Amino acid sequence: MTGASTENRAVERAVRATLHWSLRYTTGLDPVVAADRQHEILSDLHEQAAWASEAGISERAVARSIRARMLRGIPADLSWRRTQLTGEERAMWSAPRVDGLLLAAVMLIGIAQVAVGAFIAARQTRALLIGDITFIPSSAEITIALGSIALVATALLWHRSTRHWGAALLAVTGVLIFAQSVESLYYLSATALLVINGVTWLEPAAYAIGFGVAIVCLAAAAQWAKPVHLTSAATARKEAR
Amino acid sequence: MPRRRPGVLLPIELAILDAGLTIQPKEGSFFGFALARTLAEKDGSALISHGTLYRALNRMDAAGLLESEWEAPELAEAEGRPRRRLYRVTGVGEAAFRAAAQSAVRADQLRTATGEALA
Repeated sequence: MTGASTENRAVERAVRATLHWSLRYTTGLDPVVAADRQHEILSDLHEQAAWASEAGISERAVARSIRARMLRGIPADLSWRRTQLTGEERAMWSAPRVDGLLLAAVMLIGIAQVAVGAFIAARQTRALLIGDITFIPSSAEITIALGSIALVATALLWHRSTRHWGAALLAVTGVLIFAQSVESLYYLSATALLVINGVTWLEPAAYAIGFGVAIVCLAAAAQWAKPVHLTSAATARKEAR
Repeated sequence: MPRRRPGVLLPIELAILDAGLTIQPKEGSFFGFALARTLAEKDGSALISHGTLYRALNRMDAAGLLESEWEAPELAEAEGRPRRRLYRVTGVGEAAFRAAAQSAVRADQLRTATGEALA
């Protein structure tokens, strides 16, 4: 099997997947509306492949682009389907709104992580002062270090240009800090010791929360890693002048 | 969920009208992929997703900002490709675009004036 034929097949597969998806989300709609959308997608796919071939773009890149366009469009396709079925256009979540909500969520995650780090630091200091324990458990050290990193990461959220780094850092600290704090409390709090011994799923739950938090932060990092394009608005202004 | 105020163009709609008004004088009309390419060239981004593009075109067609018709099958057959759905920016669409662009200019001027007054 040659590399070229493999690449050709990649485009074919991407086209087939996109057409298959268009058949799926148009199922049960008015046949004329459904056929119009399917033909329009078919035409788009043909035009993209023809243009890419003329522009000398590799088949692999075309296949990737087609798949990405299909996947990114799924929420819009489903929303369009809903509109066709109900006759109601649902208000969209604009990019600034999504951006604002993501920022609020990640900021909250950052503050929560800093609070966890600060809480463990306070408990550790108290335990040392009253002679409860005479050492610093490694889990407490890690939690305090992660809390400090989270503080820096939260500060990075302030500027648009560094926001994606802040979110990425919070994803890493988020995976670990909750489970590590639970482990620290085993040494630092008598009540926590009883709870941890009685609730076996506490540590897995802490990791699950950590992974959930990391997914949100990574999604935000991906969103903010893209440069902001203001060209359309600028063009519109130029046009009016 | 908040509803959009009537007459307000979404950024995607503004961009489509902008791109459409760029292509239309040269080609007479435009089709989906030509629009996707122009949008990508204008802001240097990846090609817009199928879902976002065709949902917006569908909505703008229904709102009278654009008009569309399928090209003659003979033409597509002669060129060995699927039929294109051809769009044109209507007078209403063009007026809405100009109004949106002018209000953007006014907002810009207001911001500049406020900035100067406060400086």
